[in-house]
Amino acid sequence: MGKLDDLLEALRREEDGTKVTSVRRPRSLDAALQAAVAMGWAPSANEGLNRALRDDLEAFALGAALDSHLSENPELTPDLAGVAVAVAELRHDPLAHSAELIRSAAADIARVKSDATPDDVLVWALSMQTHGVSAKAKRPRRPLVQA
Amino acid sequence: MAGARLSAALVLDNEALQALADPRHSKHRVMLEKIAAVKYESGRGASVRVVTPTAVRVEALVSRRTAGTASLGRFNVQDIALDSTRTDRCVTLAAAASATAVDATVAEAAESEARTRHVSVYTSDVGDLTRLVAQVDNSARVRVRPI
Repeated sequence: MGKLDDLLEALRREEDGTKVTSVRRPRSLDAALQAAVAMGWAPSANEGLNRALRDDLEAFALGAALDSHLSENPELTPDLAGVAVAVAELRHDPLAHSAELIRSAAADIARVKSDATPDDVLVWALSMQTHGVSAKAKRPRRPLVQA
Repeated sequence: MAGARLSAALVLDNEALQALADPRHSKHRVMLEKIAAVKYESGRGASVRVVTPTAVRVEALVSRRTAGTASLGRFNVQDIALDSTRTDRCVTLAAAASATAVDATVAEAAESEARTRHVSVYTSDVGDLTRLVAQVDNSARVRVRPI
C-alpha cells in the first residue's frame, strides 16, 4: 500500500513549484497536440498536458484504491446491477429513475455474457423500456398451484 | 462520432460520507458501487470528482486521521473548504430556503461543481436538499439522489 499512499499524498499536496522535464514525444503526437491546442483543447500545450496527466493519475489512483479495498474485503464487491445504476446516475441518464429495470436487465445480461459491462446493461435496459418490457413482467412466474 | 467527454462530480452529504468512510456501515457497499462507477467512467475518459464540504465532515465526525476511515483518503474524496466568498453564498442559500448551515454548504458545493460538471448529490435528506438545490445556479445540472 506504500506506493499507493505515496501517489495519493503527491496528488493531494499543495502546488509546490514546478519542475522542468524533458519528455520524448512521437512527432505525430506532438503535431496532434499542437492542433488540439489551436482548436481550443487547452489554453496551452503545457496546461493541457498537466490537466490530462492529473486526471489520468487520479483515475488510476482511485481504481487502485478500490481494487486494494476489495481485495481486502471481497464480500463488499459491488454487483453489476448496482454499478450500472450508479453509472446511470453519474451520467444523469433518465434510466437512473428505473433501478428495478436496470437490475432486471443486469440479471438478463449476466446469464449470457460473463464479462458484461454497465454499458451492456444500460443498453439492454433501454431496449426493454423501448419495447415496453417492465421489470415486474420479466419476473419468473411461479408454477401454478394444483387445485 | 464519439460524444463529448463526461465531466461529473459526486457531492457527498453526511450519511454518504460516513458510509464510504466506514467499511462497517450498512451502506458502505452501496457507496462502493458509486466509486466503481467513477472508476468505470474514468476508464472511458471521463473526468469525475468526488467531493464533500468540510462542514459535512465535522457533522459526520469523519476525520482523515481517525483509524477506520482511511478509505476516505484512498478514494480521493476532496474537501471543499469555505472561504469568505463561499461563506456569503452559503448564507444566502440558507436564508432563502431556511436550511441548516451544513445543508447550505452541500448546496453551495453542488452549485460550484455544476459550473462545469454534471453533479449528483448523495444524501439521506433528499427532501430538504432538493428544495435547497432548486435555489442554486445551474440547478438543472444537479440531481439529488438518496443513499
